[in-house]
Amino acid sequence: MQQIVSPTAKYVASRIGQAILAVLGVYVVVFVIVTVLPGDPVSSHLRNPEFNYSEDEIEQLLSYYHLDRSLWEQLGVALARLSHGDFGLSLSANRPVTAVLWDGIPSTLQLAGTAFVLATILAFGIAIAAFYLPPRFGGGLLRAFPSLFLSMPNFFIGLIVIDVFSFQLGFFRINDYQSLNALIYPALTLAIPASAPIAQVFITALDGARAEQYATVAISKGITRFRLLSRHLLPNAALPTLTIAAIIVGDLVGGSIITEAIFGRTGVGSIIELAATEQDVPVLQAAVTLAAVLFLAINLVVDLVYPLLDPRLRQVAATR
Amino acid sequence: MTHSLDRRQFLGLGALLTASGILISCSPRGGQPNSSAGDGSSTPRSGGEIFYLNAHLNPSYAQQQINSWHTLQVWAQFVEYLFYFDAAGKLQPHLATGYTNNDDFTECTITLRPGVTFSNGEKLDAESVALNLNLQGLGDEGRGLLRVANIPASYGHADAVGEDEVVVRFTEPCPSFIPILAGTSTTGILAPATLKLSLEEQGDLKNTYATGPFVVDSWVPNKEIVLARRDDYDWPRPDAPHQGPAYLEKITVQQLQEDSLRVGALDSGQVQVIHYTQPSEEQRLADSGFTVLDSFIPGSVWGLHIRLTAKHLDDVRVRQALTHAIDRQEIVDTLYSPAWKVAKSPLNINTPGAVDLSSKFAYDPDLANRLLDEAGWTDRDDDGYRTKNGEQLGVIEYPSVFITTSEADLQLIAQQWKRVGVKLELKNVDFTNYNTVTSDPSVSLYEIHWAAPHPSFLWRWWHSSQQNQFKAPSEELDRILESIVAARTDADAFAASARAQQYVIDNAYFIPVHEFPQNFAAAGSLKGISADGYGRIRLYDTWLDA
Repeated sequence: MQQIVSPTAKYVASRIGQAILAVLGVYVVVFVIVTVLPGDPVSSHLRNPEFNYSEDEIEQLLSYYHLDRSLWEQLGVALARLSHGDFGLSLSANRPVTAVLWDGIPSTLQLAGTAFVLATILAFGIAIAAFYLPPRFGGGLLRAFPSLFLSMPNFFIGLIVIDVFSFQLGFFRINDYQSLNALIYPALTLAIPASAPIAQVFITALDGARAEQYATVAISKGITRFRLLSRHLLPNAALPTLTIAAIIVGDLVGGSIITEAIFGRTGVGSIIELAATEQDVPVLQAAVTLAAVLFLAINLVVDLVYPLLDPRLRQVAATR
Repeated sequence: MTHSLDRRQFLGLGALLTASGILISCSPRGGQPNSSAGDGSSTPRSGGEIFYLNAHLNPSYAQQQINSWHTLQVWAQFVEYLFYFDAAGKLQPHLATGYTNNDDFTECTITLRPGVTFSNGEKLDAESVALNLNLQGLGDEGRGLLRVANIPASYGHADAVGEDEVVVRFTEPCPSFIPILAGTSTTGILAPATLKLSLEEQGDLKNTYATGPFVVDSWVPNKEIVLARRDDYDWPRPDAPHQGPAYLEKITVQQLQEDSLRVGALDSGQVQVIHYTQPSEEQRLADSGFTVLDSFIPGSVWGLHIRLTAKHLDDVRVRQALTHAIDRQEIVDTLYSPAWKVAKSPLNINTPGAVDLSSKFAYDPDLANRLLDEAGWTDRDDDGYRTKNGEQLGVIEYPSVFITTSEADLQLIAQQWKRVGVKLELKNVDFTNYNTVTSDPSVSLYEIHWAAPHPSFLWRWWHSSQQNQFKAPSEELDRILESIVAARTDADAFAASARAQQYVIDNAYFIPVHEFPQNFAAAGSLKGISADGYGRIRLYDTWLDA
């Protein structure tokens, strides 16, 4: 019986296979790099002379955590655990790594997700307003906003947001990590610089699409600006914008470290920062693996969405 | 891609930024209604909830891992100790009623307070205390639980005698056991149900049952701990102003790392207590009606151990010059508030046994210059640093990764030493490698500000068989330190401690700089707030004014 497998399914399967290999590679490389670095959270804590532990006692605890084994022995154990979805125990928290990361994942997803939505709205708003408004009525000023936003570090924005909206106006409590109201402000802090490259690319793409001959022909035929934008310019400008937006998602997760610290939120960013400071290898490995999976998944989704936006790409995808 | 601004756009952006700056700078900074803590004009009232911001909360609360000043402040609200140091620095019983030692200090009998229970209903009795002490003194290798490092290795075993007496035996004399229990953060008394758990399970605060006036209602690792009042609590410390349950109903402790934001939250009334205010904010907060608490713990000042094995520092004249070249008052006036004090001794002056030796290391740049000239450092290089045989007079120090003010202190010291021609090179290292790197004998200076509940801690820091912080053994110093450990009375221990302090100052082994407090700030509406003699904030007697 002849089985027919669609080209798309084959493409997706091969991309997933590549992704798995990539993730494994990242896992091994991170493990080796972090493990060969001098120090670990157990001995670095115990070697504080204020605590006065002897070398024998330190060795005893290193043995309990299997940190006295060779690099390759530790890697073998870690890979065997990984095959069961087990990332081991955090050396500083003494809890399963998955539980430690799960403490922060919902908060980071909320923050990054909300920030992405706000950044997209802000970017699209700026770009479309800049498209519509003539330069002397603010269009030119709007085109400068992406540069301004990009030059403002998010800790600076965060401190201003907190000072104005929390301490002075009382719109939210600084350490409220649960309410939606409190989520908007750190999300805004992340969204402002994140919107800049999206807006910049979108403005450029719209300008480029507007300069094409088909747009000139459409205008000469009497098309309204709205219809020109929605039917012709937007679909063409969407592709490069989508690419940059996918990259921004990764930046949002990484950039959340500073925002989380400023707003007192415990997310993946702050967990990773603590793990890096204390050389908590299992947590670092799991975090980097998670980040790799996230990036690869987003890129795969973007690759699959492209042909939906541009019919020309459907033919190319079908022949892969 | 680039976007160039024309004049109109530039002016528009500039106006926007200026407006933002004006909006922020016109911020009304409110304080809370002014009133000092416990001023007697307010009647304690039961009820209320407060928010307390801490710089750092732990991901795990196994008692061995709560060894930081930040975490201790929270831990001490629901975990209690057999003994403690009161605000005057005097040793007092709490869960115990007293203790006796045998003649050679190889046995210590502790008598327990009756009527105390853990929050899970278990009784505090001799068996439960013996279980605690044995885990603290011996650890449990199989569960990855280390012993409490401050408890000497001569700890033998604790045994229950009847309902309310515990006998602790040592293989060698240990006269310092009770002060160590009082002055160590990881010697709190926990319920047997907690102690029998694995390391991982003990790290979960929901499993921590203790005797304190508050219990853990809920917690989020690295984020928040919610404490609820324990309504059947009735065994406060002897110096507590009231009996019975705590006044406050609920305390929510949250982590916020940024120092200025903690102050901002207090200023705006969002929280009622913060741990650690930047020294530059202390006076402003006090003037605005907030309560600022500075608690100086028994232990060392913030000071510098000199490594005699490092370059140029084997010469006592060079070491003495370094200590006389530090203007301690300038450091305190520049970097801190009036509540901070210059050092008078290697120990905070309220530490039992501390001796005022300030005249021996007073700021005297003329003397420092003379000493360096006598030591042969008479030439100067183009930067103004002294040289001898072509070599520059320089020392190395790694600012502490544990103290936020360390680098500022050292930068000012570097400026002061430059005036007498000595170069202080500051290097940085990460948290993980700090202890390893700074233990190298070639590193010139090592800073300290450690707790020392008993003079025997000087033996731990300075004896050549122990931490040996000066790196070059001195038989005379070793003898003095051994006499501290051998002392059988407090008077003898303090006398030996005084000799040790004099030795390290006379020989310029140690440079005291300034005293180092635990520091808190609280809203004026929060009454009765205080700290004990070990720098632990006390919220049991605290109430919210109407």
